[in-house]
Parts: sequence; structure tokens; C-alpha cells
Amino acid sequence: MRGQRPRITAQEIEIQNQYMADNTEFLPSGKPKISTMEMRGIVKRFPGVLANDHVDFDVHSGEMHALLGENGAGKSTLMRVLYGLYQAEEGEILIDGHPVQIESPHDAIEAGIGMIHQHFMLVPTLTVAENVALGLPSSRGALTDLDRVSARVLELADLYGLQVDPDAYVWQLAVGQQQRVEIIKALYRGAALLILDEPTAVLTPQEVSELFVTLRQMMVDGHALIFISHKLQEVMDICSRVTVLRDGRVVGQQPIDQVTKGALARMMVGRELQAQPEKEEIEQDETRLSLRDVWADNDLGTPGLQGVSLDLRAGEILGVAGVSGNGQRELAQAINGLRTITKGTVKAGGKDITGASPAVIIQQGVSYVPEERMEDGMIKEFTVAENLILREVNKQPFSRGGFLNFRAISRQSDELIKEFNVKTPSKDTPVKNLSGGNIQKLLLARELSRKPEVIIAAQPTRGLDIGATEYVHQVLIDQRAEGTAILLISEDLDEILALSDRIIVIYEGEIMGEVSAEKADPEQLGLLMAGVRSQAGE
Amino acid sequence: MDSSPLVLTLASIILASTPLIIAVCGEILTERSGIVNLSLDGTMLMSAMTGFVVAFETDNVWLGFLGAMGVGAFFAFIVAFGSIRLRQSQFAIGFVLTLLGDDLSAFLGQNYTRIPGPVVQHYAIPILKDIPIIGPIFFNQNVIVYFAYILVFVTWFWLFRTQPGLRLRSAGDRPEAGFARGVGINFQRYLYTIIGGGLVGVAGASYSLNIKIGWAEGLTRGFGWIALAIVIFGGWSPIRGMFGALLFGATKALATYLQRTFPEVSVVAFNAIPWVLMILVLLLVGSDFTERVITVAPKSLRRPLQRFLKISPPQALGSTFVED
Ligand SMILES: Nc1ncnc2c1ncn2[C@@H]1O[C@H](COP(=O)(O)OP(=O)(O)OP(=O)(O)O)[C@@H](O)[C@H]1O
Ligand SMILES: [Mg+2]
Repeated sequence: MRGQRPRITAQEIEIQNQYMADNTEFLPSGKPKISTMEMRGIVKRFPGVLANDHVDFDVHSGEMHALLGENGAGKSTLMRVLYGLYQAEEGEILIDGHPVQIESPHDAIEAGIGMIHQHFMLVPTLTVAENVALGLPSSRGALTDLDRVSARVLELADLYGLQVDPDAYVWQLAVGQQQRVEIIKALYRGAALLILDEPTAVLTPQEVSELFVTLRQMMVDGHALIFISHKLQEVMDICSRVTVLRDGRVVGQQPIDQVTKGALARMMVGRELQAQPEKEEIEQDETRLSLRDVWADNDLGTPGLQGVSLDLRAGEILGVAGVSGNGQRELAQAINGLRTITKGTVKAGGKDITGASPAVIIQQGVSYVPEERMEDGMIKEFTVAENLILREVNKQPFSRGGFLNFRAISRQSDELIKEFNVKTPSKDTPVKNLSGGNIQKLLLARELSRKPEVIIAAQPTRGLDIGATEYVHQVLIDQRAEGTAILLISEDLDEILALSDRIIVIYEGEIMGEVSAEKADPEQLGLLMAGVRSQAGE
Repeated sequence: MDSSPLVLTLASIILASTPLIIAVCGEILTERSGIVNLSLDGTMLMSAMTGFVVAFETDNVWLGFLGAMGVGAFFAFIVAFGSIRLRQSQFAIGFVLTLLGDDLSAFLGQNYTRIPGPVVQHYAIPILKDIPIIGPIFFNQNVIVYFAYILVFVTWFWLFRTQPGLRLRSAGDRPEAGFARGVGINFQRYLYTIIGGGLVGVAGASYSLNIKIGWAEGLTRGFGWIALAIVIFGGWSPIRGMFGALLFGATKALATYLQRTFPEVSVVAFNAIPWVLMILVLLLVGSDFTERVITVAPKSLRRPLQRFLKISPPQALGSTFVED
């Protein structure tokens, strides 16, 4: 497969042929390696933000280079420039020493670059094989050659330990499987350089280690990999070099064996991080939220919650642990009136809110930090300020006699943006232009500023940088100290263990068991999460 | 036996549904790429008029069809350009074009109303036409009817069995994903809106040159909306769309029959039958009942059944896609 790179010269073909002979410059997929990729002096502006400010970045064949930085530091932007989704205003990109023009994803793919996006880029209504074949030439001209594609997919799957069913529809797949499809897509297309934008944010620990096996194999084979993550431990485990961005500028670049987690954190945030916040003893008596035998269907129409009962008291954090897709989403949505409860009751503050509308539930003092920020939490075309008052539009002082009081709205937004350290060009920027992590901060700012009685926090720190994660944890603990009842739904076991007073484990829509935080050990929780009930007596 | 009333009725249902089938295929291509061309009713009137006028002036039906296709494609182009380039609402543009097409066709066609002109010639397919029952119903028709059936198959094949079909569907279902895979989303949308519009033009002309021969103000009024409804009813699949159009034609024929049998009942009641039926079927397909049917079906049948019964529009239908 020659002609992969643009403007290939006869001389280069000659060289490639030579390499073909001793086979060192080629990947097992038969595609040429990219021995170096360099970005030089990349500048990218958005209205009001300098997202990349003369960034230099490079990666070599056989290494994994980590790109770190706070939310909104410009990581995704830099990678989108490399993948041709954005055009840089200044700077150049060199592949194997030759400048290349990457004006669209098409050019990037031609140059051997693949990207796994922070939000997956799969067409849910197509099958795995169809997604792989999308946009490629077929061996049968205009006709699809899905049988061949499937065969090749299975081959690659075998080579890199990525199990997938080529005939399954993408909408049927769990998140981890979808990611495998993304990787296979890139490999199929002969990516020699693979960009992974927060690939682990949505994976379970088990899936993360499987992913790492694949990535290590790819490195050994000579792929060049770029890895973005907010989890420093992962970066320390698998990467060979690290570059840290802050406010669009490179603030450090080092081999991994010359840095520590602490040093990286300091570089990213620009200050020292605090130790895990201390929880004070507080009285937990009054029951604020109670569920009795609650059933609800999932999106496929089968029961996603199967008789969940729980009590949440004032001043406690109840952690809901579990592997993703075991009913967490349904649980949060059912409580908040966003999903029909087919059986059972939900009470908040003594009042029955089963089947009540979200408006009524909000009035009962229930705040919701949803997992799907964009769909359930924000109106993406609205501005930051508008989104911040979305839940309280009818209330004083934001609204008087049906008219919005813009002065009050603007003051409130300024305060929240500052307090929660939301990175946004202005409060009048549409939310869709914010980076993933900053949208989450905005949502928390809105929900927590209401002095709620109950908080349902679903994956509250997913995709947040370490500084912001620390901040959110502090906020939750402060809320607890003020007597708020908090249901913390998280797939991050460390987070659950650090914050909760009690922990329940959810598996296939059922509560498997409950443990108090002091007695909990990760191993036992892991078993419960896998659906193994604890032995009699415990 | 070949000219028994039933056979004749069935043959006439087939003939009467052809324009709808063609228009539905065109609109399915358009909507599958993510654009709604709401102007169908106006486009059909314009192209019915144009088709007739061109055919009349040149004395050639095929030039008439060509002209109608051009008009249909042009109206569609306005929708695509307005929504992609000018970022205006597709629905608003389509709606305005509907009104425009209605008035403009009446105005431009006023000198051509109610005069005889060329028509599509009858053409029975040799051999096939002699198959008992099926022959006279399906193969004793004209080229436009055969074209409609071939079109259904080609559209289906294009959508679901070809590489360009994948690109087309990605544009309508998840444009970001297609774009990240190197598909020119807006190109796809222009292309299929224009092709779809051209087909709608053919549909319009097949009224004035084939079914309701001649031109009169408002000749095809209402059929554009019917085609749009059938696209939804057919779940954006050409084959189901074809059945939808046939069902519509059949209930219409039934209505006409009932009307003759029960002259004391108001005409309006019978005219509503096809619509009521359509709504009922849509309700049924969307209800729990279908879910239950699927769950009790044998395992091997479940997937195809689900695909056939479950209707969901292209996910990005009607939204604009901005390439950086
Ligand atoms: N399409 C856009 N229009 C306007 N501003 C944008 C756009 N995309 C990104 N930005 C801005 O550019 C900055 C960098 O965003 P980017 O998405 O690169 O951050 P990030 O480092 O990937 O953050 P995160 O960890 O939260 O994903 C942010 O301030 C963001 O608001
Ligand atoms: Mg990002």
C-alpha cells in the first residue's frame, strides 16, 4: 500500500521499496511507519480564546507521548488541528521531516494519522463492519465488500486482542466495545500514528487494562501514539514522554522517568495540590430520599432497574459503585423524573415524587448532576449565563413578573464562573464552545448554587482535570457538612471510597449489597461489582 | 379473465401510485442525507406544469420529463443552498417554496390549461405480460411504471448495499462521524437533495404526462404532502415506502368504490380513510404491541423483524452541519 502520504516522490518510493525488503519501516498491517511527526509553532484562536499558542509537539514511532493539561488547556484543539478538523492559523506539521498540508480528516488519514475522539465518532445505525468501511474505497468499486472488511476486522482484532462482532450494530454495543471499534477503524485504515483523546475516561478499570495491552502491542509494532488523559497514574504507567499544556502553551516536556505524579500535577495546575479532604463527623438522622422497590426500563425496553430500595439521610454521602451500564443511569434518571418508573415509589422530603415532573422534583430540593451533560444538563446553544439560571428562571431575583432581570443574572453568573473557575471567553459564549471539563464545572456550579436538600451526582468528575476533581470533591464534602444528602453514582472506585459514608453496589439493576466506608475493601467491592454476592454471614 | 374488474382495478392502483413511489424514493434519498425538502407539493406542481409545457411545445414527452427534472432539481438546490450555505431553516425555505411553486405554476401555466398534449405511450413487456394475472397487473403498463419499480430497487440497493450509500447514511445519521472519516458531508447533502429533487420533478411530470394528463391549476396539489407523509410512514426505507404508496392507492380506490356504493355518506368521510389507516398503522408500529410481537418471534426472525418494524428517522435530519 504505497501512495499513503501526499506528494510522494519517486525517490521515496525507491526508499520504501528498499525498506520493504528488510521490513523494518513497515507495520504488521503492511502500512509504512511514521518515524517522526512534528508540529511546530501551532497557533489556533477561537473568538475570545487563544486555544493553542505556538505549541511545539512531536511523537516518534514506537513511543507513546502523553499530552496533559487542565480542562480547556487546548489538548483536543491541538489534536484536532493534527487531524485536519481545525485549521491552524500559524505553524506547520512535518511527517518524517517533510512538511504536509492537512486540510481535512481525509488528508490526515492519507498521511497515516488516525484519531480516537473524546466523543466517539461512530454511526450508531450502521454495523461495525459498515462503520469500518465508511469513507473507504471498496475492492468491488461502488459495491460494498463487507465480507472482506469483516474478515480483515477479525484479523486485526486477533492481532491486537480487540474482540468485536463485525455484524453487530453500533448502537447495541457498550462503550468499551465501541472504543475497540474506533481503534480497529483506525488500524484498518492503516493509521501509523494514533491520537487517543481521553480514551480511558469512559472505561472500567478492567477495560482500561485491556486497552493498555492493545496499546503496548501497537507500540512494540512501531506505531506512534499520542495519549490524552486526566489520570496521571495511567500516564506514568504507559507513556514514555509527557508534554504539559497550560492555557494553550507548552509549560513542560519531559521523559516520563524524570517526572513524578506530584511534579506533573504542579505543572498542570500551577500550584500544589491538597491532600484528600477530611470529612467531619456529622449527625445523620432525617431521611431525605427513599426508594422502595423501584423498577424502570432501560433504552432497549428491558428492565434496567429491578427493585431498587435505598434510604439517603441528611449529611451523608451514599456511594453507588458498579461497572458502567448496570443501571446507574436509569437510577439517576428515575429519581429525577426523566425516566418512567414502572413499579415502586420514590419519596423526597417525605413527599411522594414517583412519576412527578422534573419541575416538581426540583422544587422538592433535588439537584441533579447528570452523566450526559449535553443532553440532560445543558442547552448547548444557550450562553453560559443562560444555562446557569436555567433551573431557576421563574424565581426571584432572576425573574420579576415574567421578565428576566439581566443585571441579577449577570451578577450571579460572574460570581459562579469565578467561584468554580470555569474557563470561558465570556458569560455570553454558547456552552457548546466550552471544553468538556468546563461544561461539567458549569453544571456543578448551577446545581450546587441552589442550596439543595438532595444532590444526585452521576459521574461528577468524569473528564475533569485533577484540579477540578479536587475542587468538586471539596464541594461535595462541604455540602455534606451543611447537611445535604448526597447520592454519589460513580464508576471510579477510588472516588467512591474517598468520599462515601456508606457504599452500595449495583449490578444488573439490583443492589448487590451494602458496606460501610470504613469496612470496605476494594477487592470485596470488585466481587460485588462483578455480580458475586457476598458469602453468608457477611 | 385478464380484463376482470379486479385485475383492472389493481392495474390502475399500480399506475396511480407510480408518481408517489418516485417522489418517495427521491425524498428518502434527500432525508437520508440529513436534509428535509419540505417543498415537495410546490415542486411537484411546478414540474407537472413544466413537464407538460415542454412536452407540448417540443411534442416530445421525454423532453418534458427532462424539463420537469430540471425544475425539481433547481427547487431542491434552493433548499440545500439555503440551509447549508445561508444557514437558514430548511423547513422555512421548503414551506416558502411550496407556496411559491403553487402560485408560480398557476401563473406560468395559465395559457396551457386544459389542452391535449403528448402522453407517455403504453408499453406492454413481451412475454411477461402474458403471465396470468400478474402480467396484466404489472407488465401491461408503461415505461414510467417500470421505472418506478426499478427505482425502488435501485434506491434500496444504493442505500444499503453500496459504498456511496454508507457515506450518504452517515451524513444523515451522524455527520460528525462521517466527516471525521473523510466524508464531505455538505457535498453529500447537496448531491442527494438535488438528485431527490430531480426525482420529485419526474414524479410531478408523470401526473401531467401520464395519469391526470394535461395541465390545470393545482393539478397535483396535495400529493407532495402525501409523499412526505409516506416517507415517514415508510420509515425512510424505499421498499416500505413503496408499500405505503400502494396501500395509499388501494385505500383510495376502496374509498372511491365505497363512495359509489353508499352515495348518502359524505365524500369527505371516504377521502379520510387512507389517512386514518396510515395513522393507525403508525400507532401500531410505535406501540408496545410490536415490541411484544418481536419478543415472541423466533430468535432468527427477531433482528429482521425489528429492522422492519422499528422506525427511526435519520438522527441528524434537519440539522445543519458546520465544517470548520
Ligand atoms: N469550536 C470552538 N469554538 C470556540 N471555542 C472553542 C472551540 N473548541 C474549543 N474552544 C475553546 O478552546 C479552548 C481549548 O479547548 P479544548 O477542547 O482544546 O480543551 P481540552 O484541553 O481538550 O480540555 P478538556 O480536558 O476539558 O477536554 C477552550 O477554552 C474552549 O472553550
Ligand atoms: Mg478535550
